[in-house]
Amino acid sequence: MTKGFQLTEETAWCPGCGNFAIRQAVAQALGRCELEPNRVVLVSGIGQAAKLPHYINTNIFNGLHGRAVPAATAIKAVNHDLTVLVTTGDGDCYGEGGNHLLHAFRRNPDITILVHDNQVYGLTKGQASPTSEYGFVTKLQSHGVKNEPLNPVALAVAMDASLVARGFAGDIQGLAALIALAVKHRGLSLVDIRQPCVSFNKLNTYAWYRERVYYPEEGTHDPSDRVAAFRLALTWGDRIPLGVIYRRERPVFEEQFAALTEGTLVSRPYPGTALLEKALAAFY
Amino acid sequence: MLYELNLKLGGEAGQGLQALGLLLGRLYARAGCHVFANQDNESRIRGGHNSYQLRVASRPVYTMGEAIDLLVDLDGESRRIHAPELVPGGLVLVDSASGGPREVALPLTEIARAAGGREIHRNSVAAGAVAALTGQDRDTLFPLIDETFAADPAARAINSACARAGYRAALETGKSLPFALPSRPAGRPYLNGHEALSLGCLAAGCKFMAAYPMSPSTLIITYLSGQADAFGLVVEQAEDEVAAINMALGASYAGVRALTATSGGGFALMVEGLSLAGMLELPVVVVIAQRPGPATGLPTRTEQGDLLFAIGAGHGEFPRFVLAPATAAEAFAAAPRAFDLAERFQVPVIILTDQHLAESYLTPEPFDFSRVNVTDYRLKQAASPYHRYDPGPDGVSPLAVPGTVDAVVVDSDEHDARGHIIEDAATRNAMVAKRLARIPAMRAMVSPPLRQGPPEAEDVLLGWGSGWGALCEAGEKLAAAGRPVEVWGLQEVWPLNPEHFAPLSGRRVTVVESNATGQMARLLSGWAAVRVARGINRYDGRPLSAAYIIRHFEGGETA
Repeated sequence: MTKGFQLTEETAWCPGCGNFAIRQAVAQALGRCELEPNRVVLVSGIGQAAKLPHYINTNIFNGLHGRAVPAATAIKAVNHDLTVLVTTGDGDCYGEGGNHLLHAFRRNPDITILVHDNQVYGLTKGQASPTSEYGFVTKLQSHGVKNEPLNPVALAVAMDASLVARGFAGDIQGLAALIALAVKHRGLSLVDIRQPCVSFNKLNTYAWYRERVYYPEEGTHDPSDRVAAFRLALTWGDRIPLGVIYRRERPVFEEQFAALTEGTLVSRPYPGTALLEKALAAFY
Repeated sequence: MLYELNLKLGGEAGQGLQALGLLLGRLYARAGCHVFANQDNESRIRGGHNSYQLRVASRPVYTMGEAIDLLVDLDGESRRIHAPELVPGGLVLVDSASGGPREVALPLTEIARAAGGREIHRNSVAAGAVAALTGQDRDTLFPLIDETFAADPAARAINSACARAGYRAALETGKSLPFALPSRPAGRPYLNGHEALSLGCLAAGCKFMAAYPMSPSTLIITYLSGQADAFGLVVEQAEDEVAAINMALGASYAGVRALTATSGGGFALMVEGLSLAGMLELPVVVVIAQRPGPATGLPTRTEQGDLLFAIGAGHGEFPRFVLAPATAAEAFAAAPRAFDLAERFQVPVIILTDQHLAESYLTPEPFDFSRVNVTDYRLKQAASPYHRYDPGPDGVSPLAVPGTVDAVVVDSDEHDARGHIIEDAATRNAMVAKRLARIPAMRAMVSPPLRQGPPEAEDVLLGWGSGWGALCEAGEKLAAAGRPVEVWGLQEVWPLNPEHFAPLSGRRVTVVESNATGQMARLLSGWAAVRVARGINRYDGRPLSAAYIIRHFEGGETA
């Protein structure tokens, strides 16, 4: 099913890490979308999730911590024929890059943001993340986390994000279908992927999630109903809903530039001196 | 015959000073004069006291004049505030039916109302009056008014009527300034340094800009946004400077020439992104429009305080160019130069401007777009497999556009030739060496400083960037007073080529710059073995002027 998307043998991930499953799902989803690897750009920041692009044979922009989203927005604007995905973590996207995410919701570029959300910082060895639960004890937060967790799905619905979904790394098939749907969706898609951290999160384990996650039954949730979506987004605790939470067609960022109506920006020719002379003439 | 006219318009923010100044600047430019114009604004939207000063001359001028021939008082305060600056015989145009002997009293507001306008239209009355008082041809003024308001027939009619009424009324006063124009040569564009730089970006084939508004850089994104549809640009106001530079880098990676612009405080936020450009070896152009710091400083004023910051910014070690254009014409040329250097060497290029260069208007010779060098250094065909960081001549690797090759892989981690993350020491050393291997070729590309005056003079006045105009004028005045000096102006300030500075050996070098700590002096001492005798520094937020330089040069004052 991976259709040309090859995965490397070597990775820097811990054995049992959910990143392996997410990578498998990404490759399956891209193959299912009938994309060629060289027409796909994976953009990432820093963290274990952000290493995913290195382990798959696409174009890669592995930039700075928290800064993947603005880079991805620009890559898509310059060449909207490419498929652009961001692979990021909860610290990268919701902490360091929080402001960029807010404004990406507003811009609505046609990109897919996959957040590997394991509720803990892995690469820096186990500190709390923006989605860590209240009271979660770490070496740094030795008396427990004193901040309430960010609810990224509710935030995205509140920001009227074009597509909002939650996935689970313990369900590769379901996740691959969700990612394929997000990639095909025109507009910004945020997929918050719940993923246990086998090294540093002893609370939100595979077993913990398996007891709680569910896909709403067919016909019981209408993702175009924003109020219903917000209610579902607030559902957390004993029951954790998966799948598409919210969906709305909105004008896409790069569709709104006159420069991009006739083709990609990267393919536009040099403006020519006549146009420049005209611009200069306005200063006389 | 030499001629020079110094005009000052004084008023509150919001009274239309800029529009009036722009109109008059264009008027004199069309009449074939050289013009320098500069604004003195407080950091506020309405009220306060602002001024717009025009120096109109028969030869190129780059700084403000030292005395005023004609003052236009639009706020009732200007005549008091600026009286000491008036030359003997100078006039003040006041919005009043009666006035003193040095005043040209015209009820501008009443005239505007009588001509069918409102109070704001008195600016056009004033424009007409100033044109008449300075002997300008009505055939130059009236078509200019019509063209200025061409988009709005009603506004055009009112402003035209007001200008004609003001022109007539001023003639009737019988007062005028002894200011004669030569036979009319071809007109020149009237534009400021950032407008010139923006035109240079268009000429360079820049297609993408992202920036966060910050004075005095904002004009660039505003102008380019206005040209986006015609030229096919994507211009985006970013949520912050961090996003702005990361967007520019994403755009550059995807295959287009990309720009961002800010001032020192915003650049502080971009520093991490600059380092990313260094690691990814991505071309990008960053304009830093300097203003006085630290922190918020004096937001609407000028300084050259970010030289060492620009040269040293970014964690880790990577090469970059820093350019500092001297005038509007040089700012136009600096943009294609910056894009060319950035793409040729795959490095960030910083263009250091400042409020003085950015917002001062000049009348350069018309730009010759056919002479702009636009070389596309990106690969048309790449070998397969393509490796982004394969070593090439001078350390420059092949630069491919994503989508045209198997994969373009770039990584902020240390990486191998393919672009993939590595940890081993040998690869690390090879990549550091490859990145730094570009430096000798980059240094060889740097243009030598501008020079004016006798090369045998013992004294050298050396400055950089926008200081050039004031330095040249100071040099000419000192020479005329029997004290010959040679003037040097650096425009490509990093990397430095020590060979360029050999002619300074054994001479008395005074470094003139708009900062308190002598950043260029320290740079030249450290990197080019230049012995600096002393510095002339200005850091009150006001631009360097010939008078300031001469006063400190002759008086031996250092600040």
